[in-house]
Amino acid sequence: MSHRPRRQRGQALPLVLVVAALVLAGSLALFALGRAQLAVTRAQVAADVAAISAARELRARIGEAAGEPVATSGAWRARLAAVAVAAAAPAGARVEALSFPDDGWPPMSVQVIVSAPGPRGLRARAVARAGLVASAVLADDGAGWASGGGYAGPLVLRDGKPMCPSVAASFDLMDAAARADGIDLVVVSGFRSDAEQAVLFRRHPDPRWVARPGHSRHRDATELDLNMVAGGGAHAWLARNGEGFGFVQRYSWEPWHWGYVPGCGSRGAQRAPGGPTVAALPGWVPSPLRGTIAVAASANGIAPVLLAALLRSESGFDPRAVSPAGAQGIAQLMPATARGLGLRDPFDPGQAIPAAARLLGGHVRAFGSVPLALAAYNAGPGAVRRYGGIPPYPETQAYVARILALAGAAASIGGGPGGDGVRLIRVAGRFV
Amino acid sequence: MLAMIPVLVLVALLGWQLAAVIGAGMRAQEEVRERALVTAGGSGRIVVVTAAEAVGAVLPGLEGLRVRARIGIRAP
Repeated sequence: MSHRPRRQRGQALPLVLVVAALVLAGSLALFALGRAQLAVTRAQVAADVAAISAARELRARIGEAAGEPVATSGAWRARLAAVAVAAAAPAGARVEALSFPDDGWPPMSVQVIVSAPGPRGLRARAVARAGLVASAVLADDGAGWASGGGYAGPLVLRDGKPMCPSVAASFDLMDAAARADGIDLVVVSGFRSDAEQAVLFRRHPDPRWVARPGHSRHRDATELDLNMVAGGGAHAWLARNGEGFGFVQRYSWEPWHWGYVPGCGSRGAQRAPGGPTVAALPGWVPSPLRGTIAVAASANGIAPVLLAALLRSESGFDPRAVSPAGAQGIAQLMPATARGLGLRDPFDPGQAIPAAARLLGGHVRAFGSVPLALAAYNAGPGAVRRYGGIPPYPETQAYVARILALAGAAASIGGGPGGDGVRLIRVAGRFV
Repeated sequence: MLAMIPVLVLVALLGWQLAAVIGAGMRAQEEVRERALVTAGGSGRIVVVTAAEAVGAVLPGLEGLRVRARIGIRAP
């Protein structure tokens, strides 16, 4: 009777020790796995930081990059790699490679491969991609319909003053560029109907300062009076940069009066006087196309540089280009879109450029915003309306950002989690 | 067999505690990542971003245990 309990105790003890050892070993193995996972996480954080730092550097210098030839891509890669290396170093990580994964120039995203020290002398490796995005939302800024002389069409408000959508869209780009330089552009006056001009003229019946009703350019909805009070700095900035956005100073004695040369587009009553601004086109626009681009853009209320930037981004000015999706020609129009525009030969730049200008100009008038118009050109106006702004497709966001950069409107690139136009696009295979 | 129970419970608690430490470390790392991404960029001075996460105490005497994660970044 007293023998059996001793035997049971003797059998249980080794079993307990074995099971305990197994559980402990399992726990330690899990702990080791956890440490390894932590090392991978640390490497991923370092990769994310390196990628976002490089993308922020790209964002800061994208205007500069847009003006440089594609041949300088190696120098740009080296410059951004230096930033990524400096960003990864404090985390003890090493940048193994940096690349521009998307096609086209200037680059819109940066991908880095980073390695960081892990347990037992191993290195954990992580990949991160960050890029530029553009963001814009549909705004309800309609101000009714102009009629009764001069411009006849929809009006939108900027600083509470009415103007046609094409002027508002270009003004927005110019305003963002000015703000980036510390200048605040304030619209003091925009479209004025003949009736409003008559009231103004009755108050100040001096034709040297107030035009008679029916004679003011403000009736065309293309004219803006900007910063009339203490506007010296703003006017000097406009004198340097206004033409790039399609605006010219109308009268030498009125430094505040700026007119939008391309006009309000086909729905406007008339195009404001002033020739197409071929001279304002950047040097990267091929000579044989400069005239066609300037005329087509101006006929549709868009700045020539914007149309040129779109064509460069779409096809690199290659009239024979065909995309994998089937888009054709210099403007990369889908066959159905080309047919809808009445285009017989999308491979003929003489036909395709005016058709692209007509399409883009229509989108600008419909949305009153260049970024939204570009998004509509890329993803379709239905997608823009469905999402209430630029659709959340990385391709479309990068497309808009690239064209804005090429058009000298890099300051309008914005959005992303921090609102600075930069976001992580892909991290080690998972989207964030 | 009854004698195994306290040992197994103790070992299980230890494993659970280790898992809690790892979990807190992951959360701290994620917190650091999010903060670092907001400010990283430029070539300015190195700023250390830290985050601390409380570890759920399973074993007695480990109340108040925290895991700290940190990363150095270059701020603008």
